[in-house]
This record gives sequence, C-alpha cells and structure tokens, in this order.
Amino acid sequence: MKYSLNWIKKYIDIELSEDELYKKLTMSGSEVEGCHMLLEDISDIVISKINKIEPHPQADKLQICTVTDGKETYSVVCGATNIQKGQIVPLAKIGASLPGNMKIKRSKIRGIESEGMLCSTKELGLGTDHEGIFILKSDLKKGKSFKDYFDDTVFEIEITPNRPDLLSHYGLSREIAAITGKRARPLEIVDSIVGNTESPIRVEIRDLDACPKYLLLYVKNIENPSSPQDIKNALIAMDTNPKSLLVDLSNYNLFETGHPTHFFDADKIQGNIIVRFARKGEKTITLDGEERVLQSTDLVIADEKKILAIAGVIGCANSEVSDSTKNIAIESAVFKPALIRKTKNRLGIKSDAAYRYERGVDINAPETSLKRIMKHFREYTTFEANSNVIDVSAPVPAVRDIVLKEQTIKSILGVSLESSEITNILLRLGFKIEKLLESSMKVTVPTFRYHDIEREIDLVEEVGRIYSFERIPAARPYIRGPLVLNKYRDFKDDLKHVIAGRGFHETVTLTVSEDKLYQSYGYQEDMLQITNPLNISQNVFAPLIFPRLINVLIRNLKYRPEQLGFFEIGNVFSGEEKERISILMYGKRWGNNWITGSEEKIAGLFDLKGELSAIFNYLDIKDKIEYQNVDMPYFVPGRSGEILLDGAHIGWLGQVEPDNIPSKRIKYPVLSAEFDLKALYSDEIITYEHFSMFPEIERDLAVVFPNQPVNAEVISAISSAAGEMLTSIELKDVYKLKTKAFSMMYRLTFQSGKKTLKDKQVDYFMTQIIKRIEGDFDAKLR
Amino acid sequence: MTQIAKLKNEALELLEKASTLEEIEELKIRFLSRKGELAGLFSEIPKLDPAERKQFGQGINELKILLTEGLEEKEATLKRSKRDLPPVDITRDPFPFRKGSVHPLSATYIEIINIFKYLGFIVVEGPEIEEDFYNFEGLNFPPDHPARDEQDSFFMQNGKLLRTHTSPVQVRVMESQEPPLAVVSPGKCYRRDTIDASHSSMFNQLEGFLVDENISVAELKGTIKYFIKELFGEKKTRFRPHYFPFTEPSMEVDVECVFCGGKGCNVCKKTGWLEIMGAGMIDPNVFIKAGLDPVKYSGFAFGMGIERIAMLRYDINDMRLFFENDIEFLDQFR
Ligand SMILES: [Zn+2]
Repeated sequence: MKYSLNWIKKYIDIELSEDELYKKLTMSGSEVEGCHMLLEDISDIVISKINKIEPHPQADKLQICTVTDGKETYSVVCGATNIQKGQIVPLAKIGASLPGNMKIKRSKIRGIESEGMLCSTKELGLGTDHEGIFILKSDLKKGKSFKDYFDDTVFEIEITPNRPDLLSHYGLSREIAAITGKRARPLEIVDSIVGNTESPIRVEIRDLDACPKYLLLYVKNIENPSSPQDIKNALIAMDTNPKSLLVDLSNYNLFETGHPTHFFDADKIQGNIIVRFARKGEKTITLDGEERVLQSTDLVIADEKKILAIAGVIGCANSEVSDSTKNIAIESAVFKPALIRKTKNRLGIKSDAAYRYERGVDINAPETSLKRIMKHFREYTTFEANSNVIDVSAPVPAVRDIVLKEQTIKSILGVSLESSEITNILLRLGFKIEKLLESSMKVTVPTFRYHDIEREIDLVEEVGRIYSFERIPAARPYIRGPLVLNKYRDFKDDLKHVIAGRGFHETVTLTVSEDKLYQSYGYQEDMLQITNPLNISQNVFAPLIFPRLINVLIRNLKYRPEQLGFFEIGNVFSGEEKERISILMYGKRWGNNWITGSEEKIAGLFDLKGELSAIFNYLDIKDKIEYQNVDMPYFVPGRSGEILLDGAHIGWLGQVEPDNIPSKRIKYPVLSAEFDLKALYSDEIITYEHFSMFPEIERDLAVVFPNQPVNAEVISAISSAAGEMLTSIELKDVYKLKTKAFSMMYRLTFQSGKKTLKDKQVDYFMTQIIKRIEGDFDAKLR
Repeated sequence: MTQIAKLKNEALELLEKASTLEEIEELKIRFLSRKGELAGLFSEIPKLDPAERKQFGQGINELKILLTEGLEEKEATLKRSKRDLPPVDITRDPFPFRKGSVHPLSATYIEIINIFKYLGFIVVEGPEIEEDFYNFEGLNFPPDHPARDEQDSFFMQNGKLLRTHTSPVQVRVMESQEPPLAVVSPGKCYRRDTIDASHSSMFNQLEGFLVDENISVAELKGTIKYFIKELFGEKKTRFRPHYFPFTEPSMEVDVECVFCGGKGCNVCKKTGWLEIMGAGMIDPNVFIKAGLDPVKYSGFAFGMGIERIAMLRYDINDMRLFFENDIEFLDQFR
C-alpha cells in the first residue's frame, strides 16, 4: 500500500531521517518497497503574484498578465477567466517541466511573447480542473519553489495479510509510534453526533453474523463543494482523483482510518435499508457500469425495491451521490470477511473497500469514522440537519484477554527478556497489561488487532519483532537421531551425473503444459486437466515427458544440427502421479573429426539401448531387465519395445514416428526411452558371490532360421536347454539370406564353478541346445 | 693385452653393423656364450704371468659388461622398430565423445542439500499433485483468507491442486513420524503466475524443518546462518519479521547483496540486501493438525526458491533461461 509522508506527519512527529524510518519499518515487519516524490515530474515552478492584467490586443479570450516572483517580472499570456490582480499563482518559467513530458518554451501567442505559463491543478498533476488557474493561498512566499509547499514523499509498503490495521495512514502512524517509542496524536473527531432531525430511512439486518454492525447517518440539505486543496493533495498522493467533497471524504476516510464508508443519495432510497443475501440470479448494475448477476451467498445492501450496493465491495449506480444530491445517508458498517472475499473473487472486483473488508476491519471503527466525517462536514461545508446515528449491531464481542508467560517467550524466542521489557513493548503496541503471579501477565488486545492477535504465540511474535530478531543470539542445534534415512534422492542425483557423463544434457521443462502436445505424439488416454488454466498452453499435468524433450531438440537444432542428447527426470500423471526418466538421443553416435573421419555413425535404436544397458549396469539391475517387441503409437511401426523389470512393465523405447514431429530440420532418427524411476531404486545391499577360478570354454553356434526369430526367444531356448554351465550368450552376427531366412551366430560361454570343463561335456550341452533350437524354430545348423 | 683390444674392436664393429635380431643372437653366442670368445680368453688366464693375471681378468670383465649392455640395447631398439608403431602427436583432438551436463537447478539443489545433510537433515520428497489439506488447511491457512491470494493455485479435475510450495511435506512427515525430525524437502511447485524474468508457473523450492523439544529462534538462526555461510561465504545476514500462516513468529532472511557487497545496486533494488528465504517457528496449529503436541514440541521451518539462489550463484538474470533449455545455456554447466 502507498502512504503519503505528509499525511503520516499529521498524526506523529518523526525525528528519524526518511531512510532510518523505512529501515525501522522494514525491520519490524512492514517492508518498505520503494518511495518517490509526488511531484518528481515537475521542475521550475515558482510561487508568483499577479501584478497586472491587460487584454490581449489580438484575441478576446486571452489576457496578458504581468507576474512577479519577487525579483523579476514576467509577461505571460493566459486564457483563464478566474484570475485577478493580486492573486498568488504557480508560474512555470521558461525551461520548466510539467507532467506528461511537457516543457515550457519561449513562445509567441497570437503575436505576443509569453515568458512562461500560469498553471492549473490539472497541468500540475494535482487535480482535474484545467479551466482555471490554481489560485494559491495568499500567505505563500513569492519566489519559493512550488514544490516547497506541495511536494510529498509517497512510499510503498508490503502489508502482510495479517495486518489489516496498517492499511491506513492512522494505522501506520500507530505502528510507527510503537517502533519509535512516540505517541500518535488522536484523530480529530466530534465528541458525539446528536440528531436534530429524524432519518426517514430505517435499517434492518437479516443476518447479524454476516453483518455484525451497521450504522447509518442521515444528513439533510448538504452542500457538495469541491474539497479543500489539502484533501485533494492527499487523495492525489493515493492516485485517486478528487471529485467533490462528499465523494472525496469517503475516500479520504478510507485512506485515513482504513474504514470504508458508503455515501448514498438518500432521496434515491425507497423505504428502508435491508442488509440481506441476494436472491440467486438477482441482477444489479454497479458503479462501474457492469451488470452483475448475484448468488445467494452474496451479501447486499438493498432498499425495499432494489439493490443499492454489493455489501463491502461496490455500490450501485442507482443510488450514487451526484451533483443534484441534497440529502445523504452514510453507511459505516462491518461485514464478515470471508463473505466479502468470496463475492469479490467471484465477481472479479478489486476495490479499496473490499481489500480492507476481506482482511477485517476494527469493530469500533464505524463510530469513529462517522464522528470524523461529521468533523469534516462542520469544517468544510454546510448542511441543514442530521439524524442520530442509527445503530443496528450484534452484541459487542467480549474483551479479548490472553495470558502471556515469560517462559513461553524464552522457549520460543530463545532469549530471556526482562518482564519490564516485555511490558514496555506490548504497551507501546496498544495492549493493556495486568500483572499476574508466577511471571505471567494478562494482556488485553485492542480491537484493531482482533484479526491477528488471538493466542499467546501471537503475542510472542509481537514481542519478538519489536525486540528484533537480530538481537537474538544464534545457536547451532544438536540434531538427535536416529533419523530414517532416505537415499532415493541420492540415487537420482548420482544417476543424473552418470547419464550426463554419457553425453546427455539434463533439461527442466514445464510439467503444466498443453494436452495437444501429447495427443500429437499419439497419447490417447484422458489427461489430468487443470480447471483454472492461466492459458490454453498450460491446461494439463503432463502424462509423458518425451514430447517436451522433442521440443527442446527442435529448439536446439539451429545450434547443433548434427548431434544432441537430452534427459529429464520428472513427475507425470497417468492414472497416478509417478516419477519418470526420459532419454532422447539424436544424430551422430559420435561426431566426426580427424580420428573418426569416415567412420561416423548415426545413432540407431541399439545405440540408445546400449546407453540404457550402461545405466542398468550401473544400477546393478541388468539381469532383471528384459525387452519385448511391442508396437506403440508414439513410434515407427516395428521399431519400439517395452522395458520390463522383473517381468513388470516399467517403460518403453523406440524410434519416434517422424510424421509427428513438427520440424523440417529433423533428418536423423529421433530415439526415445522413457521409464518409471522409482522401480529402479533398491536399497538392497549387494552380497559378494564367489567367482569361478576354472577356465571358460567358448563355442560358436551358427543357425539358419526360416524367418526372422525373436532374439529374446532364441536366447531363452538356448539357456533352458544348456543348463547352468552356460554363463553367457552373445549375438555375434546376423545376416539375411536371399530367401526369407536369417542366419544368426551366437557365442556361448561355458564355465563350471567346481572343475575344469571337458570338451566332451560341452559337446553334450551343444547337442542338447541344437536339438532344442531345431525343434522350437524349425532352424538348421549352418 | 692386445688380445683383448683386438677382440673389443672386432666385437664393437660387428655390433655396429648388426641390423637384425638374428645377428644380435649370433653375436651373443659368438662372444658371450659359455664357449664363446670371451670365455676363451678367460681360459687363457692360468697361462699368464701371475703379475699380469689380475689386470687381464679385469680387462675381460670390462669388455664383457660393455658387450652385454651394447647387445641388449641394440636388441631392444631392434625389437621396438620391428613393431612398426609411428610416433603420435599427443596434442591432437581426442576421440569425439559427447559432452553432457547436469541442469544448473539440479546442481544448486545438490549443493544445498549437501549442506543440510552435513548438519544432520534427511531428504523427504512429496507429491506435486496435492490435497488442499496438506497445501493449505494443515498449514493453518484459514479457508477464504487473503493469505491464499499470494499462492494462487492451479486446481485439478480430480479435486486436488498443484502444490504451491513444498511446505505440505511438513504436514505429511509430522503426521507419520514422531520427533525428532530434521528434514529438507526439495521439489517443484506451481502458482498461477504469468511467466516473465522473475516468475514462472512452475518453480523449485526447498523446504526444511526441525522439530524436537526445546527448539527456538536461536536454533533457527544458527542453522540458517551456517547454511548461508557455506553457500555464499562470509556474508552479513538479517532476519526481518514477516508473515506466513504456518509459522509464528515468521521472518524473511536477507543476505548482503552478492553483487554490490551491500552498497546498493539494481539487483538488490538499491537496498543492499537480497531476500533468500522465508522462515519461522512452526505455528502450534500446524502441530495440532498433524497430531503432535505443541506443548511438548517446538520447531522451526524455512523455505527457499532454488531458481533465485541459482540466479544469484551463477549470475543469471532471467528465470526463463532455466526452462527454455538452450544448449548454449546448459552446456555452461557440468
Ligand atoms: Zn546489490
């Protein structure tokens, strides 16, 4: 929220420099985020006096004024009609700047040279009146800079949601008083409001929980002049355009006390005011000209015929104060914060009133506000009569007392404070204190803090922040064990380095993404939709990772068209949330340089499979992994497969269907593998197995199959026929014969853990294997 | 004596001429074998004048050493040249292996987690698609309260939401384990923020909390100061009061600007301080909702944005760079 320093100074004397003040505020929890001068766009405007006014010889509507700044005189052409000899006015001299990048230059107006310009409030950025010149008070000193009288420092504070009491100049002054040890002057209000007329309007509240307090003040035949400059300046500092006294005072009161009030044109209210919930579907047009359709949870201020305002949020056009208004009714009420918030959010209305009501206002503020407004009325306008304050309220809430033990302060803040120090801090903040036995005290909370001080711990925070966390000594904790260690994160971090070490770049892409992306690669299941997406390109939680890696690939082809590899670890939602890893490989297996030369090789599926093997080897799960040929919509038919761990599906690999990739730059196969990560993690401790000291015997097995066999099936047949002496099978060679037949050569290794194998024994195993292969596959030994 | 000199000249001449391993072998047999010429000279010794014997013996020995070394050296040279391996220029480029990298956010996480592991914290991760209870209610966010505005959430079709911070893990851990608890929890979070240089709808956080008997602001400060010192070096810090629904008292932690040393610059918005985390004492309501006794236990919690810390560490000025994955960006990290 923005604050005017001049305004704050009305309530409290500040001896600190601005920087010191901002630092103190920041270090007590009200972070000052910036400040600027209100008139930073203005320069070279001086206070001057009109000595003479003559008509312009060439133009009826212009005049030539001779003005002086006390040293020199200037001849200025002016078109305004409100000027008179002897008035004090702001003069923009040649070279002066005004808001909107306006520079005053020497110029001739209808043949007469003008040595500057007399300024209206609008031209100075201090109002909306551009017809007349800004006539200043006669006691302003000629020759002084205009800024000396009218400039102000505007500073901005991030007010946290727990401190609605700071959302006003008076509220902040109270806080400054507490942190600087000063006192804020009380607001000037009338002692009491005594009626000398009857209000024609009565008030009925249907739900005292929704509206615990509603005050109404009727004022008869009130003049509505423009506001004094003082009030105008204050509003301008708050970025609010001054309009007329009645409108301005409502705004002024909000920025001053933090309490929203609403001024109705009393003659437009038909019958009595009823505070009620809207009927479902009920409509009204609000001050901003929008038609609003309401629901039965929206609290409204209505008369007997129509809705006058959406309670605490915005008024309606039908009862607005206008130039013809004679009699007014002022609402000063308290509404239930959660209700206001719900309505305001649903209707998408941001208003200063709603901002304060949803955070909570002081239950005692309605009376003070009316008394303050009455004080202003008596000072700045005239009216025929006013009513008594009509007061419809729920019973006054009980006084809030909290017991605070000094021991609690010590155990939470970690420092022992003197009882007098605690008392002093709380008194400065407006709490009342009664000492109890055993180092404790009864603390009475002022009503303006009811929204955030409810418990003992809230008082501990107050003491801590004013005492300053900076003064609390630091201590390293002793962390007691045993804690249940979880090494899964270490496992992932290690894995990232292993894969990066093999030439892949880790990416982080946005998991909130567009459903179309996944559909375009063939994902057919329902996706988990975001019901309130910010935009269409982020409407689901991703079911896959690899389409985003392809986007990264496409993006980077312009830098590296020949060779790229990426991987990402992240969560997907596909029936449930799970963590996956996706690996993408593209282009040359290795680049060409003076060594590889013509040997360069484009990565194919088996290069990617090799990378997976390396990873599974590292994780010591290679023996548990199997692959199966399965066609999948993401991949080129016949070029993909599933990955199984201990027989359970964990993911897939394949060559991505090139027709699905929206880039003309793709010229090599895009290879992708994606699988569940958690399944791979095991905290099993590896047990050492005794290894054989006896020699191995290798045999080659060359077989001709009538059709292309599935390698995994051949290996499985060989293994089951060979028995446990077979320690490894490697596919050494494959070639297609002229017919449909395939010739495959396997190298088998045999070894015993107990003795040296004899050739004769191995011959026997080989016979068994050949018999099995010939039988199962209709194959022939080559 | 001349006998030795003569033999020496002859042998050295032959050694010089020898160009094959066979010739070397022949020379070895001729001169050095048991029946070779040097052995022949030794057998001459008894025939000599006793006065000459010693000197003669020494002469033969020296020749023997000379020949043995000469032959061995020549043999080695011939053997190597026989392998026919040309010399290489070791300064040339190596075989072109591909270079990979770990994302700077991962690297930052690892660095931060290692510091807390050293202090005795363990790592626990939680789901990104979370229930309102864990994300808000269990953390003492009143329903329909403006405190929720700062954490504008994505709501999901299945009635859950995308967690807006890593703090839900606090509630999950406290619900399932008795203190002492010392946990850090890294992970992705989501808020309905439009992407720009300092905002993203997805971002990374690290949550930490310590719950035990007798934990106070003093321990909070000690832990965080240690962390900052390890990560940023000897820097000034300040603990500034703030508000979070789930801690009481709450504070934000600022570190002296790493760019200007506290003098004030554009990065620190002229304040000389950089905000790096939120922290506070866990609110008793959070303990109660998780089923722990707030009288027996107290604790502190803190949370920091990983992008922010990575930006400070690597001098990165735009948050979007982390998620665009330009190879020229990624390549700069290990
Ligand atoms: Zn700086």
